[in-house]
Amino acid sequence: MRGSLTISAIVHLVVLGMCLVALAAQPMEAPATPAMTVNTISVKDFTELTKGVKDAPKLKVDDIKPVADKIDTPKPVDEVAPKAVDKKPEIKTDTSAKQQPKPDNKPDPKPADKPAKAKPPDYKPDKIADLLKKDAAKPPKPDDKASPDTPPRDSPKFNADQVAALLDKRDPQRQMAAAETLNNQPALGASGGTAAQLSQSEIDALRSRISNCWSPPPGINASTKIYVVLRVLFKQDASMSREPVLVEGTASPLGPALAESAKRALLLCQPFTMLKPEHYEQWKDLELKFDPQELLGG
Amino acid sequence: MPGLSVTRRRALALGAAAGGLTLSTRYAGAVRIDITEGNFQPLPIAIPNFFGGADSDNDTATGVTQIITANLKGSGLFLPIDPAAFLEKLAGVDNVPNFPNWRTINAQALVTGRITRQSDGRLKAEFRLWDVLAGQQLAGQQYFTTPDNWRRIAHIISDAIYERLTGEKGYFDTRVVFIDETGPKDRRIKRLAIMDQDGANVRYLTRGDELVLTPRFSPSTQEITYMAYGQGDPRVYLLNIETGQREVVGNFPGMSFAPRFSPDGQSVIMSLQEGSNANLFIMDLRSKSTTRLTNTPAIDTAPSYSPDGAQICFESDRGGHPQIYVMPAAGGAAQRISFGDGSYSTPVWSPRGDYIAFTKQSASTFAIGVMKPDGSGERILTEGFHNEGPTFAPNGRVIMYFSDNVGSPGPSLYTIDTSGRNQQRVPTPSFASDPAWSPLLS
Repeated sequence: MRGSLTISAIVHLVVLGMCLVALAAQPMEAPATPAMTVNTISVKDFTELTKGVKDAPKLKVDDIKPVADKIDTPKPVDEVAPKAVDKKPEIKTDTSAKQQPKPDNKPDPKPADKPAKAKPPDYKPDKIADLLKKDAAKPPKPDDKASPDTPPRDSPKFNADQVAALLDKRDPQRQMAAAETLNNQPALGASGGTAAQLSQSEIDALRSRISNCWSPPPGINASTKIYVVLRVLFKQDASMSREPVLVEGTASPLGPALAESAKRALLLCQPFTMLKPEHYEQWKDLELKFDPQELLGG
Repeated sequence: MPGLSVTRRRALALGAAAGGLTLSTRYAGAVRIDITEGNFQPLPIAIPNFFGGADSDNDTATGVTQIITANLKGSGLFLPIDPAAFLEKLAGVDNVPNFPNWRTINAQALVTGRITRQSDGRLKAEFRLWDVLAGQQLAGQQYFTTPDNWRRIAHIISDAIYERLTGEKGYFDTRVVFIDETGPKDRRIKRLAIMDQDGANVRYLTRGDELVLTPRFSPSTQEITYMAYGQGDPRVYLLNIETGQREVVGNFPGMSFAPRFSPDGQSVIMSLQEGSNANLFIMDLRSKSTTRLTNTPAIDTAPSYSPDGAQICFESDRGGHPQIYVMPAAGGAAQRISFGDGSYSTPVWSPRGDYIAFTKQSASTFAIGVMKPDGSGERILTEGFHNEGPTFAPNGRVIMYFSDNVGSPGPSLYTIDTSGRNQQRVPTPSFASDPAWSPLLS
């Protein structure tokens, strides 16, 4: 009892510590670059970008084990494939790679029977799938067969090992994402995955478009150091969903004129079609810093 | 025991959720993009005719609208839209305009207003400034004045619009004092004159029986100091614009010239002749005490204060050619700041403090230019046969000067932005030189 209390206390502290680290994280800066960059991406990258994370099923805390580092061992699978693909039509290029994880991750009862009959050894590397099945407790067969490989996992709902697994959960996920086969189950279903990134070329195109539309108030001059930051929320069609909000700025009599000129630029030039729909999660909420200092050679 | 573990796990889940929450709020709007480049463009603005409170007020309303339009257009920072393009006929100054109609014609700002004569004979002027894109009112004011002051009301409204949209003070409600020149070149009559900055309401302050030069406004805008050849040596005078009262500044043995007020208006700085040299002196207008600033075997002249009153810039030929120097207003060592080819004269410090404007003579041309107070960043704004005498608008954006072209019978006044753009001629009844821009009247 006392031992578990201590563990609990330690875990609380660690979690709080993690929160602190998360709080201290700096916002992602997009420094100005004069040149327009063009990204050449491979099919694999594109698949990864468009894969997204929104529809990932939620994992239960208990189900996560630090076993995902083995997920990348490729196994040729034949019969199981057709069933699994149904939910992900957009990723056609990746079918061969995806065939494997699908039956593991997604459906509990249905595919469980078939793989059990067809090729039991396929399941050895996919331990998360095993765990899922165990938890479901419906198909007992694969459990039995896979049991020699998996670490013993018994009835007690909570123990120190399990806590450790919880704490480690971030690492295995990263490894899974970096593995050859993609993992579409991010952290607790949160949408903060890093797959769909706003590319530098999109940022530059947006910056260039806004710069073209922006006529800073003539009252600013090299001796006035002034900037404003507007938070802009976008709709799916890349137009603004509401008026930009001033979130930060230099206290100055010029401030209102500067903020209004920035808003005018945004209103004038929307929608910003260079923002790709597949990255919506990344650009639906942007902070735009309007800083005329460089413009004036200051 | 299971109960305990459940609560622990719940607590853990809560902690994790809290962590996730901080992460997600951190991510929200965390992608920050810097916009450091812009595209200075004149702002398209729609200024429909102001409403007249009664039919008899319509002429005044039209006049006010025209002045506002001309002022804003003349600044080069606005692009008034041709009223023929307007789609909407406004219902009144109190109604919210139908913004899409104005967006269609690419207006970004809209001014509506009304001029009404009150029962007591005064004029009431109201205006509203609308942000067409955001669909909101940016400014709204009303003013009361005597009917003959309607032009000034138009200038005041222009300043309000200008200030709201550019973020800096306007300069429309100002006057210019200048030397009006009439008659043939060899028998030129020079009179001290004053007018609105747009050339209207010209008034003559002297009769033309003596030669007058270098008029300068006091910060209170009520007085002018200038040099005149009265009886004997040229002297510096002080003239009250309203009362016409005139007095000599100090009683010095030689010539006194190139006067200018200090920023607080309490003293006048000027050059006094000492033999073949000239030095700078400050005269306190109340105590009449005189303080010597320079003592050189050279001609020090054309002093001008920095806006904070701490420094002065002036012209001196102590180095051989006339050049611009800067020194503390309380006295001390002078630092030369102009080093280009040719000679520099008539320096004047911008009210904004960022530039010193000057006349530069090189080879056969006279140029008007600006440089920073430390002498760096010299730029020539305009060049020609004879350009001289720069004076700043009170917001420091526009410079007025006079210019004489080859073969032209007399000089005229011009304005130009400190950026070197937007050169315009200022209408005057006859030839004009030596302009001095007043501070804002209101």
